[in-house]
Amino acid sequence: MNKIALIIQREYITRVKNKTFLLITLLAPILYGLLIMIPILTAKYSNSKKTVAVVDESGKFKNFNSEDKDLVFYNHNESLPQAEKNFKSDDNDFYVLHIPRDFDIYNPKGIELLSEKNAGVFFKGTIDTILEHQVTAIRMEAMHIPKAKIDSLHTDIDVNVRKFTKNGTEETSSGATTAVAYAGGFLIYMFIFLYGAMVMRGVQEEKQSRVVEIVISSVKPFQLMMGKIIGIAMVGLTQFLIWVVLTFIFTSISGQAIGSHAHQAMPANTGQGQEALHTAMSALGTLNIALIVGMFLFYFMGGYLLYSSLFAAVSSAVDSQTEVSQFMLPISLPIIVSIASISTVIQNPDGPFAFWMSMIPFTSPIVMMARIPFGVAPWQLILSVLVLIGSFILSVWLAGKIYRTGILMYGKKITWKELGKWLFYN
Amino acid sequence: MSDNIIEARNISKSYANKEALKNINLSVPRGSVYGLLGPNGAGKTTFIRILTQIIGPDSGEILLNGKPMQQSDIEHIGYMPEERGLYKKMKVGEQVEYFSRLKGMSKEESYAAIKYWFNVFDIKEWWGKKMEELSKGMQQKVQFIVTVIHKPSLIILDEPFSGFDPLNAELVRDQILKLRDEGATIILSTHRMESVEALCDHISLINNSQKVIEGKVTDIQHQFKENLYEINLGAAPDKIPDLKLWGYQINSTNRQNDGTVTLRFMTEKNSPSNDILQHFMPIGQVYSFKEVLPSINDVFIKLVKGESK
Repeated sequence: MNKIALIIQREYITRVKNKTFLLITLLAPILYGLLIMIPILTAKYSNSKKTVAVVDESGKFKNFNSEDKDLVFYNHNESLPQAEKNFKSDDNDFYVLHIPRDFDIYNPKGIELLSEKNAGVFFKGTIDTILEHQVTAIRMEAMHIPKAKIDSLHTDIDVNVRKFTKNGTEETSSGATTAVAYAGGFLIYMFIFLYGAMVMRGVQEEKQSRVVEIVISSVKPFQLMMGKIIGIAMVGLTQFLIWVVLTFIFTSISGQAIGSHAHQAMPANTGQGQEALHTAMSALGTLNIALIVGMFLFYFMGGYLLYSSLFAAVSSAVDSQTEVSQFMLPISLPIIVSIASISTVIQNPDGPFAFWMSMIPFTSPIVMMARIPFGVAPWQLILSVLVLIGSFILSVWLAGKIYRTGILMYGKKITWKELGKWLFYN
Repeated sequence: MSDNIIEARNISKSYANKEALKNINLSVPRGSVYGLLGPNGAGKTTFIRILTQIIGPDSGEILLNGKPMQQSDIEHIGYMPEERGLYKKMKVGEQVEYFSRLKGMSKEESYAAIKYWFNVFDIKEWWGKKMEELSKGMQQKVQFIVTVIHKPSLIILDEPFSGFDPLNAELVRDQILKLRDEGATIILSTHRMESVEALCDHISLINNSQKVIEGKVTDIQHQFKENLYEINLGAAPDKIPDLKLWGYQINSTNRQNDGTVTLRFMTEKNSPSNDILQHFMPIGQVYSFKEVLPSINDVFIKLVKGESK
């Protein structure tokens, strides 16, 4: 068997057979499923009913109502101490909304929300909105504008987004596109860091255990480095594939479980749930999934090869994991910049910022993945792919030069200048 | 085929600010145990790394069996570096198989060889154990097996006895000689002289990146001999006559309880042994007489000190 294939096999098998790998691979989708399920289930079954006693000393407000069944208003107009006394023994979260006597609807200040614990920012927002609606209604009444008239002016518009294709136009979903853009960029970010770090640790282990000199007396250092990088890439792809399958299975099961619970609890809502699921699926169907998956695999491999070869080079040059950090930051900075800029890119996926970020090889794997769901001109995609291919070939070549010197270097404080010199050694 | 398995011609190698090897020429005779000696930092490891093709020389070439060395020749070399270790999490059997296959053995050849060596060292039960579960001594045995598993014709051992406990050192020493008898050539790099005379047929001394001396161990000892002799006399008189009369200088006199006297003395010139003996025969009964050759350690110190002056 080819020597590099032997190294790939060893790197792959030792990692895949490792108990931690199996545990993480199996637990991640379960955790992911739980992450989805827990908020849904807790929201559904937890006792999160909030009661608000309204103490309107100004007498300007009408009865408060809420469409949310978990938010109940008591409009008994008791005095403040009375309200407090009446609700203190209640099991639910209770609040007192105090509107002072001198409340002015044109200068709406002084309203207080009192409770035993801190009101969450979202709950405060809900109360603010309800109050705003109430104050607006009072002002309209003062101006003698009938509410029905205002209501008739209110309208909801949901623009149907379509894009031009060869066969005319087809429907797209901005929500699904944005979600896929985020997910694609984030997954690439995660994979580069996760498996890049694995390469780094692998190189350090070989250096620290001093096995490396024995290995490179049988194979060229470059073969060892590439064997390790490719072996770990295959571990990554295996893990990714298992995650995709398991996540699919788990979310389907949990989706069914939630559906059946919903069916028992709220028969009327089942139809809505199925409809939402159908909408989500058809929204995804509007995207070019084959292109997205294909480019995801390319940018994962390209970005991973680019970064992991640099991680390997840096790791080979130092004696301990702790020393790696001084070289790690400058190398990983572009990855962090990419992930931080993803929301800017999604807001304007065809702007000059997004364009250049998706051409620069250090940022293109993440940024281009965020652009692809929105549609990218073929020439841009091809250019970005070619630049990335050229860059990872160059980085692997440079890293190989640093690696073969660094891997045998012990007890020396390495600087960037030193690393530069190693590029020119025989 | 050339008598020398390795011929190094004009090998030079420099690192950033240091010349590690200056124009080194060496010949390693086939079937010998060849000692590559020198103080720490002399350039031995650099030379070995060039031999094992881990690094390339700046200039010069290495001939293996009379032909310039190729990348594929690495399969005929077994190398045990000075700083050594194995994969800690890997099982012993898998580990030895991995390294043997990197050296070009097929799965079947590898399996048979592992079986043979595990029998030799009586370690069959370690097959499924992880390296980190083994004691240091046990790991050293595995290390040696990894070096020789693929039946290399050239075995390079860099400081082979450092870190080995005495039992394992003895075991390795025996195996080195056995492998030599079976036709392998062994290059042994060390700065520990005690192991050199016991094992090496040939040596070369590298100091300050240059070769200082090379040749057969006995030839070098003769080259550096100081006409030092040792004689053991029985029934000797209480007072030994003044040896200066014959141009000899006494180094030590040692009188034993059994009445014998051992004298160490130097002659001014390289006189025939029989002439020397004739001077002592009238003094007492000659029980033993020999020329004392310098140890390799003495030669080493003399040369290294001479160089540094």
